[in-house]
Amino acid sequence: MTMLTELDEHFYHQTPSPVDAIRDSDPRFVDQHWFQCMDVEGRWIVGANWPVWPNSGIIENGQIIVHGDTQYNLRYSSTIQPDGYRSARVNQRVGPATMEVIDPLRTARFTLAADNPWGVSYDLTMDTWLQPVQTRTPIAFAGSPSLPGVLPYFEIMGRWTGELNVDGQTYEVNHENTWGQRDRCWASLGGERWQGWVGPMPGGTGVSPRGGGRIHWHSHIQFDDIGFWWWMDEFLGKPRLGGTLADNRGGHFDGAVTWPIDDAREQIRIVDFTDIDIATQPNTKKFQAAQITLIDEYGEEYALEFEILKPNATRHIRGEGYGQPRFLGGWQGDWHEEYDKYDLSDFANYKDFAPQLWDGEHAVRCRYNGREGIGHMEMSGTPPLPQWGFV
Amino acid sequence: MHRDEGVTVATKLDDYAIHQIVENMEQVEGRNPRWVDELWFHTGATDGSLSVAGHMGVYPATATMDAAVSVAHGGKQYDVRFGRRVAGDRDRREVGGISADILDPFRAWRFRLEPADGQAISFDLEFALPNQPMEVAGPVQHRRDGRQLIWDLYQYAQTGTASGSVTVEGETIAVEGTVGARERSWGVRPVFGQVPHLGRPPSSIGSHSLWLAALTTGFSWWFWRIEADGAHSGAAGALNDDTGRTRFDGCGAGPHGDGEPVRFTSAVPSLTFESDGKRLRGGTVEVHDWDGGVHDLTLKPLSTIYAKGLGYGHPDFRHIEYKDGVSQMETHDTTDAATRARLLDNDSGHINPFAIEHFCEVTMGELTSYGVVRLSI
Repeated sequence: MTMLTELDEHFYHQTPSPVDAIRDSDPRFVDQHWFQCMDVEGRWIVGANWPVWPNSGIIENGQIIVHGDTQYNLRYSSTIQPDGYRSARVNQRVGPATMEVIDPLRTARFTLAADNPWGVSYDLTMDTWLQPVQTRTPIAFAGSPSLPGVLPYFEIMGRWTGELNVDGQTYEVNHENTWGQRDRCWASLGGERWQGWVGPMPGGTGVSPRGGGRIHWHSHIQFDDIGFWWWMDEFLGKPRLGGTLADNRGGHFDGAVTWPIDDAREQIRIVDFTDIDIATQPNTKKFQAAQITLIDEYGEEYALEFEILKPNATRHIRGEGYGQPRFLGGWQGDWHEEYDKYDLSDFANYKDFAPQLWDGEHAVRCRYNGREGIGHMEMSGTPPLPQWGFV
Repeated sequence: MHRDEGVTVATKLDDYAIHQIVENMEQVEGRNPRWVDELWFHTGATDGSLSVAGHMGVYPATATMDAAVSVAHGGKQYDVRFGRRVAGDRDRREVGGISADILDPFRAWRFRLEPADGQAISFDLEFALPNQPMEVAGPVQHRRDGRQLIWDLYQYAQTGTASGSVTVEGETIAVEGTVGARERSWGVRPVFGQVPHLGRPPSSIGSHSLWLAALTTGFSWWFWRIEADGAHSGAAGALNDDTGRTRFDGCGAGPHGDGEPVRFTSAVPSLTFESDGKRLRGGTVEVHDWDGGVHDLTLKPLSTIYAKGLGYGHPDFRHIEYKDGVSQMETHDTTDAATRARLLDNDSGHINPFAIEHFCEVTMGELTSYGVVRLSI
C-alpha cells in the first residue's frame, strides 16, 4: 500500500522515503505540538499535547482544563486511518479535538468540542507575540546509553483569542486577558512505555536528569517588549553546565532573551543564573512565589520575580498523559478515550498527581525592571533542598 | 537546520509535524552533499510542433535551489535557467522567473516561466492529473559500488494533461490538454551531480537507461529500465540491484482511489537509435505485467528536448552546485547536426554522458496515446 501523501508533493523531504514512512523505524519517534493558555486573572488554564507517532500509526491528544479548584483531564488516542492523500501529520483531529497551524510560527488554532462528560469546549487561537526560541542544542535524554534520545525543541510565546466554555460559564478570550505559549518538539522519545525495556539508568529515564537535590524549572515569561525562556535542571552542589541541554553531567540549562516577533534584534542567550528563591503556600508543598536573576552571554543580569496568579492556578500534566502507563505512544485500539478530574482544593489529593515539591505548570504574574507580565513555570523539586527546609 | 550566527533557528516548516529525522526541517539525513529533492515535467503537442520541459531541485546540503526550462519549437530549443540560495525556505518553489505551484496535491500543478526582457520564452501551464501517482515499488532505490553510495532515491511519476499558453519569440501558442508527465524524486543521486566529483565511475552503474511515462484513456503507464553490461545483463533485477542484472520497475495506475496500481515485471525493448545511440528513432517495447498480461507499445518520437538545457550535464549549470543569483538563457538551432551533437556531448565529465527526452506517440494496437521517453547512459 502506498505511503504517499500530500506531504510528498513538497520539497521538504529529509530521507529518501515518503514523509509518512519514517526511515528510522524507531516506534518511539514522535512529532508533537503542546500549548498552555492562561487567563491573566488566574481563573482558568487550558492546555493540551498533540503527539503524532508515525511509526506506530497513532495520534494522541491529552487535554487539561483547570477551572477554579478543579482540573478536568481528557485523554484521547486514535489509530491513524488512511484518508486519500491527506496526512494526519498536518490534519490533526482526534475525536472531538482539532488543531491547525494557520500561519507557521505565527498563528495556530486549537479546538475541543463539548462531547465529553463535563461539556467543556473551546476554540482558541494563539497569535505569536515574541520571536520563537529554539534550544541551543537538541536536548539529550538523561536515559540509557544503549537507547539514547535526542529532542529538538522550540517554543513560542503569544496572546490568544477565542472562547472557553466550562462549568456553565463562557469566557471571551482576547489578547489582553489571555496569554500563553506553545511548543514543538520531535524526537525518539522514550516515554513512559519504554521504562521497562532498558537497564538501570542513574540519570533516570526522563528528558531531564533526575536525582536528589534537584530543581527543575522551565519557564516562558512574557512582557510587552521582552520575553525570557529557560530550562533548568539544577543539582545543588554539582557542576552547572551553562547554556546546554545536551550534557547531563550535573546541571542542565539553556535559555534566551527574546523580542517581539517583528523586532529585528537578535535573541540573546542566557547562560547562567543566580539568586534563586522559591516559596511554598502555607502548610503545603505547592508553589507560591519565586525569584531568579538570569545572566546572559554578555554578563548582563535580569532580576525577575514571580507569584502564582491564584493558589490553584496550576496545571498538572499527569492529566494529559505524562507519567501514565498507557498514554504517550501506546496503542490502545483504534479509538480510546478516558476522563478524570482532580480536586485541587485539598492538598491531601496532590500525592496522586503532583508528588514533588512545587510540582506543576504554574500560571504566574511576573515583574522585571518595572514591567509586569504573565508567565508559565513548569517546576518541581526533589529533596534534599535544605535551604528551603526540605531535607 | 538553519543556523543564524551559530544558533539553531526553527523555520516555518518546523511548525508542522512533518519531521522524518530528529533534526530541524532544513537538515536532511546524513551529510551527503548530493542530496536532492526535485521535480521534472514535460508536455508536448501531438503534431510535434512544441515540447515544454522543466526541472526544479533543492539541494539542502549546498543551500541551493535551481530551476531550468526548455522549449522546443520551430527547429530551436530555448533554455532558461536560474539558481538561488536557500535560507530556511526550501519548499518555496520559486527560482528566478520559474515557479511550480501545488494547486491540489496529486491532482493539479501549475508551472510558470514569467516573461522577462531579453528572454525568448515564457509560459503558464496547468497540469491536470486524473490518475494516481506511480511510485517505485521498493521503499528506496539503492545502488552501491564499493565504497560509494550511488543511489538512494525515492521517486514517483504521474501523467496528465497541460493547458495554458507558451510564448516563443513573441508568438503565443495556446496549449489545450496536451499530454504530459511529471516526476518527483528525492534522496541521493549521482547523476549529473558533480559536487564533489565522484570517484572512479562504478562499473555497475549500468548503461542505457530507458524511462517512459504515458497516458492512455483512464490509465497511466510508467517504467524505468536500466540495462546492465556484462554476463548477467539478461537477468532482471529490481531498481535496487547492484549485481549486474538489468534493473527494472514500473506500474500502471488508474484514476485516483481506483485500486492499487498494476505492477509491471519487465520491459523488452526493440528500439532503434541514431546519433551514436543517443536519439530514439522508434520501435516497440513489450511490457509484461504481474497478471501475465503482455502489452506492446510502439514508440514514435514527435519532438525532442536535449536535457543539457535543463542542466543535466551542462558544463556551466550543474545541479546541486551552489549558484546563487545565476541566470542563464540559451537558444540552439536543433536542425543543425553539429548543434545536436554538442547538446549530446559529454563536455562536463559527468558520470552520465548525455540525457535526452522525446515526446512520443505511443500506440497499443488500435489505441493511440502519448507520453514521454527519457534516455541516458
